[in-house]
Amino acid sequence: MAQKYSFRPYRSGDEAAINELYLKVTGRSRTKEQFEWQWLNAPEGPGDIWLIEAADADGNVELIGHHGIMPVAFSNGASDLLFGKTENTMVLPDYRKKILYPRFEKKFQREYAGRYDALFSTMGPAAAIRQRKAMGYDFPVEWFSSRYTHSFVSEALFAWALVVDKFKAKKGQAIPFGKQCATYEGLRQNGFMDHEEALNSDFFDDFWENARLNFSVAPSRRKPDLKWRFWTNPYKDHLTLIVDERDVSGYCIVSILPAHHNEAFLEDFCVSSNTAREAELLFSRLLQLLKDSGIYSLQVTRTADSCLESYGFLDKHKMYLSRYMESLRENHTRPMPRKLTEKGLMGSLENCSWDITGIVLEGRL
Amino acid sequence: MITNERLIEILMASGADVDKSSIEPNKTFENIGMDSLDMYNFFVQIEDDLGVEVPDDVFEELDTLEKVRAYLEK
Repeated sequence: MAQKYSFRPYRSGDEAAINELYLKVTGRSRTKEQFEWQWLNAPEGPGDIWLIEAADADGNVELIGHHGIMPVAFSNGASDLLFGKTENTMVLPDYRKKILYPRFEKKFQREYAGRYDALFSTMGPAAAIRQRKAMGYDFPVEWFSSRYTHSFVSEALFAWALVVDKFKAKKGQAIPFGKQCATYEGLRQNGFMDHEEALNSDFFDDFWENARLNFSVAPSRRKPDLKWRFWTNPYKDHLTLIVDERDVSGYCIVSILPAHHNEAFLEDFCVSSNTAREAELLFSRLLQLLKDSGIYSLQVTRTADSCLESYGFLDKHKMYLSRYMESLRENHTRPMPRKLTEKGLMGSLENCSWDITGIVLEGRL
Repeated sequence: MITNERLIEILMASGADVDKSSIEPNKTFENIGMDSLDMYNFFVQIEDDLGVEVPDDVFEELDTLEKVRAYLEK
């Protein structure tokens, strides 16, 4: 007997079923706290969550699909914008041949598009990219990741640390990363703030209100937005470095993965003037302090149109290892899907020149 | 009356990346290399060209060109 398929928006109490679907589709478990952070607690309000259900002849209903949009505050100079990040598009494998999923997403999109100026995704497998294309997204820029370092000596130390880590892992002696580990302590001693200190810092009280006028399309760095994206992010610890001096005023936020003690990931980077000179000062200071803390590599994911790219100094700090790897891999970039909504088009929003660093907001490891 | 030839024209116009010579009325769409996005585009094209809607609860059964033709005939 054929099943009947229907869709509806999220209702309170659906989270357990959604997390169960998430586990079945992705193989990753997600806690209620992680769900709430991602979908309910954003400063711009709850995300748009749509569910697809299958009902059999006896009236038994099963959640078989999910599509969500996370609201992310952006600005363009003085104008406030709301962007939506496509996230957790998933259908149970058994139903992928039974329903025309894109037809559902078209319907969802009609419901939520009016709320947003633009929609975007980060990176995804080829099938997800095809899906975005079918939904009318463009691919004006590519994502790419590179490793940066303080000096050639740092790069050599990083290569050595990789070898030692591999050797220790083989012998089952890998050092767990945590708040007691030397790297974390080193960062703290070198001025990197934990989430509580960053939250209590008055640097961010009016930072973005002044800086935003120097930026075109960029994610908002108001305190509530940074708090949500980084400081209350339940997936990983973020450390914040503030530099507020005569020559440079800005901040960077980094994270460190348990398996990579000697490598940090740049999560956000911003200088209030948005000038290459200040950005380079901050970036150099960051690499120096990371090195002083025992971290010899900084991994940066960005798009070809981000301000970090356009500042033009990054290549000077790029690792030889990174240059070599990029020369070996033909496809070391991935498209970033973007779609301007009618609202965005009416506001003369452009699909390029977004001043973004890696916005991988789900934040999972 | 809708013919299989007309459906093949619609299928090719929908942009599916399939070899036209591999399409046979009783061969499943999967076997001619179509995935769910190709199917979606095909049904959108049917709706645009023929002005009919194919609901999702019958989609599973419509796995060959001949079955789609028979359904549209009804």
